[in-house]
Amino acid sequence: MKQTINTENTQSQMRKGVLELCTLSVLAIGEAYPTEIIEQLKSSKMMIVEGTLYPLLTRLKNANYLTYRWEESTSGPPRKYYKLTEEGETLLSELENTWDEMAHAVNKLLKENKTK
Amino acid sequence: MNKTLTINLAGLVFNIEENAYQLLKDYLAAIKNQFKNEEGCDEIVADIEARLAELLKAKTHAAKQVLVDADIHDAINVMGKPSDFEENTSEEKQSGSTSQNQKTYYTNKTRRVFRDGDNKVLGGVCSGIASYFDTDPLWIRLALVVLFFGFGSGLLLYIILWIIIPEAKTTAEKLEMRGDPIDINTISQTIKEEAEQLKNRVQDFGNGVKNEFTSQRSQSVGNKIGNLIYTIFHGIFKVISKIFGVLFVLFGTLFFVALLLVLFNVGKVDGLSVNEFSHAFTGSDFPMFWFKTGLAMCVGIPLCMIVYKGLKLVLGIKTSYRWLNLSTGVLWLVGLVLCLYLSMTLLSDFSEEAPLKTQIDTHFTNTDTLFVKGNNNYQKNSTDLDFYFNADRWLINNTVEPSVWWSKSRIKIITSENDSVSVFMIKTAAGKQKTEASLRAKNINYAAAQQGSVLLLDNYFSFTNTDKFRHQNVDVLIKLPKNKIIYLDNSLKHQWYDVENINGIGDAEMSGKYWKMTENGLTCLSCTKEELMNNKDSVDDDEDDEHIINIHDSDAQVHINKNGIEVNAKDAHIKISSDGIKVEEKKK
Repeated sequence: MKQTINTENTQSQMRKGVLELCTLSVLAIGEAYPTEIIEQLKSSKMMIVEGTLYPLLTRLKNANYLTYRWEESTSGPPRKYYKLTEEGETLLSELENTWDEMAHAVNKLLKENKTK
Repeated sequence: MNKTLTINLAGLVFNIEENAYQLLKDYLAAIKNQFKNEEGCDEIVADIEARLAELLKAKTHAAKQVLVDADIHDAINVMGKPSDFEENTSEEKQSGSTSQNQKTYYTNKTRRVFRDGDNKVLGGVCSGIASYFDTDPLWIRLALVVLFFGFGSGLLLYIILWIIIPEAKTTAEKLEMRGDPIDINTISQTIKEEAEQLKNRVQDFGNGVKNEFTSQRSQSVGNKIGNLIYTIFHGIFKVISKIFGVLFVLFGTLFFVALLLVLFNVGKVDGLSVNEFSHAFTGSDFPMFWFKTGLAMCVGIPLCMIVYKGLKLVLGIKTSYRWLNLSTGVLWLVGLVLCLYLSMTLLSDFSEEAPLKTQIDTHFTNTDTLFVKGNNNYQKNSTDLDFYFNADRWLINNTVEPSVWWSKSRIKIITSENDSVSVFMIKTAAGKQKTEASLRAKNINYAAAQQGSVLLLDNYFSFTNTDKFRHQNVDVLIKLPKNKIIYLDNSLKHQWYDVENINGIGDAEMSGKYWKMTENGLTCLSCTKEELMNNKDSVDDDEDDEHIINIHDSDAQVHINKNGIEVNAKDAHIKISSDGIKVEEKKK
């Protein structure tokens, strides 16, 4: 099979890599149901399609980083409100550190190469 | 107007059009497939269903209560393709499977053949087939072009396929076009699913029966048995129909190619090319082109239909076109009428036969033995064609124009009404009218002549093909007076035709012998005892045989055995034996 490096694909890969961090970050502010999380992620252009979020939330929940509770909705089916657990908060701070280091390192690398 | 369905999605009720429903169903199935190895598969799917329900709920209001294709497309665009959901996969798998994911986007749906209108050169047949077999359309196109040079069968195939394969118009069809590829995995998957289904049905049936027996509703049991049998036979029928489909396509194509070979004058009949053979019958004034057109229509169309039905069976296409059946039916009839009409005109050329009888000028003495010899007037060329038609052997020299046809004459010997030998030559041929037939008969070349005590007969008669092949034949009739002795020469072997003789010797064995015309017919003079023994009538075969004849309506009885003939009647007894004839009168 032919392998092509597709710009769009690379971009979506990059986004997917940090989606976990962003989701945890959104929930750090407080409880939220998926549509709220999605809106925030969308407004910061972190997500293109919503489908990506649901498996992520389920995985994080199954790994005990998140918990949820049900709440009735007037405009549709009942909603799951997610919030961070203690483990989730630990994970968030670890990931934030990693991101800072990586962002710094990448920016530095790009800057250096540009000036060369 | 469209049919709508009512569905329950995450606890909400929706009215949805059939197409849109199919789309949604396929999408959810694809998602399920995507996460099937995931731990929380059901939960993820439930979450997504809930979100879809929310999105779709926003699409409906009092004035628009039914969901249509566009709504589902919008919702899917928001949610994204299942292939985009994949998140924590390794780089390698991701890059390797992106295009794969595109193709197997909607899984769980068997792939079907459609014409790919988005990717077409002519009708999208090749691209559709290519997507069915997961190959590049280029190869299919190339194969078809190559086939085109094989008597245009590629073109025919393309047109048939264009007609029978429907175009992928709706999204659902386009997805089906790229559905599960047909390979070992999907086949085994399908078989597993079917087996599971069957198992469930059998279980249902078992449970059903239990329930039915308690509630005594036998009609429903009947229905269930019917369903079960239907399921089983439906499966078997599917497999058999595919096999038949393949056979139809194979044989249809094979015979179609054979038909084309005949029409385009390839292939030989007994060393005679089809054209030469038919030309010998038809002559140059026959509208051969129209006959071939008729033949192509009345034989080719059924063959095409067989290939068509076969392809439909193999590819599982159910659409049928009334106009196609109707127009091919009409064309077939036209072809049949054309063929029949032209065949009839040809056959009418054989309707009248004209025997042309001439006496050969001969003066044989009654005392000498008459020798009948053959004159080999045919010199065989190595290029001459040699074939049998109607049990007669024909030799044709077609290096000259018009070609010359040769065949052996037939000779018959009968008793003369007077005291002299007379020889007759009877030329026959067929034609539309007697005059035409006798003209043809006249044109046959054949000679017979007397040379002392020898009657010299040409072995072969001949005619040129300007006369066409119209059942030409030559018979020689030799009339012998009583007591005349005749010698049948070996050079005329196989030309004696139905010559009666009291020894019962067959035509083929009559040559090389002296014969005498007696009161009862020809008698062999020089036959060996064995030859005579072999050919004696069955009455004389067995010496111990006794024949008893009962005379009707009386007590009289005739005994015939090796001792002689005995007649036993009411008032007389007659005995004929080597001792003489004895007649005794019975006293009452």
